[in-house]
Amino acid sequence: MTTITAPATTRRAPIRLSFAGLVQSEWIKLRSLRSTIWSFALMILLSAGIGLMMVSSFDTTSTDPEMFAMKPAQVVLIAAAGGTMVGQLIAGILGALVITGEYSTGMIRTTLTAAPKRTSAFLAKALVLFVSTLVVALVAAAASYLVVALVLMGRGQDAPLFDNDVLPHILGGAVYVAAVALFGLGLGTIIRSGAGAIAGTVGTLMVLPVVLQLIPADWVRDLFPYLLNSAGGRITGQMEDTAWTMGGDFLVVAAWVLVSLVLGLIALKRRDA
Amino acid sequence: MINATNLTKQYGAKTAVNGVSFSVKPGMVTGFLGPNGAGKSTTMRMIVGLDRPTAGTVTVNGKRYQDHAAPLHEVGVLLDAKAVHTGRSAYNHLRALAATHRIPVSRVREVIELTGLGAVAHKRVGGFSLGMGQRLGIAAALLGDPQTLILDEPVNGLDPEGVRWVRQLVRSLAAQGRTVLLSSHLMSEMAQTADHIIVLGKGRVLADAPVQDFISGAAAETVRVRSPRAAELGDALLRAAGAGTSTRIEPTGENELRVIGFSAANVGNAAAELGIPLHELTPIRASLEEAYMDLTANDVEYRTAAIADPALAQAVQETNR
Repeated sequence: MTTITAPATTRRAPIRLSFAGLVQSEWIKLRSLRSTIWSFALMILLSAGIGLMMVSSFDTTSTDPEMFAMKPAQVVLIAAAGGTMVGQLIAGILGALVITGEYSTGMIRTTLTAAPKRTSAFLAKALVLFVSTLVVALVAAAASYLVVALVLMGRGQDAPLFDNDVLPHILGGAVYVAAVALFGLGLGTIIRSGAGAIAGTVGTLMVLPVVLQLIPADWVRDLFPYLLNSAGGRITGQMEDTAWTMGGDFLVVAAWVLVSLVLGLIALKRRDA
Repeated sequence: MINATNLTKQYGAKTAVNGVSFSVKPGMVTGFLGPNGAGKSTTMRMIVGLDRPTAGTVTVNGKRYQDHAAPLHEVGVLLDAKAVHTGRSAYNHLRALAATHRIPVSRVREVIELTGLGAVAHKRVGGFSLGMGQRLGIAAALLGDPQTLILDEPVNGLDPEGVRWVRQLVRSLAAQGRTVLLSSHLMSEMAQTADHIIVLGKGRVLADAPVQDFISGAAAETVRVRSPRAAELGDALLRAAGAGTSTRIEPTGENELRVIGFSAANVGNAAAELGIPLHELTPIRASLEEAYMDLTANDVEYRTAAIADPALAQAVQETNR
């Protein structure tokens, strides 16, 4: 800091704000934080761990009619669903932290001076979060499947993957996990405090279903299938409801995510930073 | 060039900035002064679109900051050293910021070297000292090679070498024809750095003038006089000034006076006419600090109480001397 060198005046490529640049920036930001690395690593490890737990605890080979033997396909699905249920919590918390961490540290002011119109920065952040969470959720699902398949192979059994009632649930679960990350991002943008946003995200996923079940009114019961977590349960194949298709389930998820993101974006645009 | 017109910001019932108009011109360093709570930071935040004005407008080079195609190339801003995620390294922070505008990584390395952050660039910002945080903030402000620099308290927490470096840096940036708006509470530093001064007090512009005009306009002429017949001379000067003027005579010691409101020439002539010998006749140049204190005396938002403990008060006086 002793030499006085003027800032570079040599012109290189034109300096200009662009959406592609914002996406790259958000990607650098996301992967340069330890909390991201930990969250993603945890998603994969827990998914594999739950897979191992599930396949070990179910008997898939018994021919005794008195014993209830699981079909291998069912075990693959249950294992994947377990990973999804844990994965959604981690993803939701990560989504909330991605933005509340910027508020608590003051980073948000740097972000918004670089992109003063704000909308493009928010969309870039959402896009990067969604895609990277989706990739990690797919890897987590693959890890779970591999563990289950290896154990089943040891028992001389195949682990069906490309069945029509297996693969869509597994892929859908991964998309659902990535969507929950976006829900957390929107909630975090609205609430701005990390603790509040995490409580809100976990509360929506875990507490709201319990609370609704405690209220003995029919119209409350009718709301239950429209909860974010209920749609997730159906997508993973764990909550059977013939009245619902996967398209309908994803409409419910999209509604939760969109409301959260739109309210977050409105708040971000209107408030002083 | 920054142009603010009737800029106003209200937070609920409190008016932080109240109908402020000013322009910050290129090719010079403009100092932004004012007591805590005067509205300096709020004004700076409105310039870069972080706070939305309640009324009025502010433009940078003719456009609102938001409407520029390359905001970081237009304005480099240091608002506070805390606009950085503590979990990220300085290098990654700058790289992420650079990416938004497709600024090459070579420029990131350049500003890291320029601000002396080379040794800590890959450490997490959470462990940085205040001074290191400031250097990182300055590096971020310079990243886009901006035409306009807005620096809020850039020397806060810097070591003397860093303070001097910032002074030289902003002087050289202004010499290149760039616009520099700089706030600081260090008056002596500001006096050495700024060409022009804008003073805010309670959300209004109290002064907007070249530094020299500001100093001579705000503070009355002061002369230190030593004479064996000091008291006699003081009385004569007071009579000459007449009633109702701002002239004051303050005895500062045995045979010593502080004469406020007379030039050294006038005091010397008066003494010669009366045949009073002078042992010393020194014009005291007003400082920016004195001029500033005079101006803002009534506009301080958060006033400190007078120091009640006599021993402490004396100690403070001695340090001020």
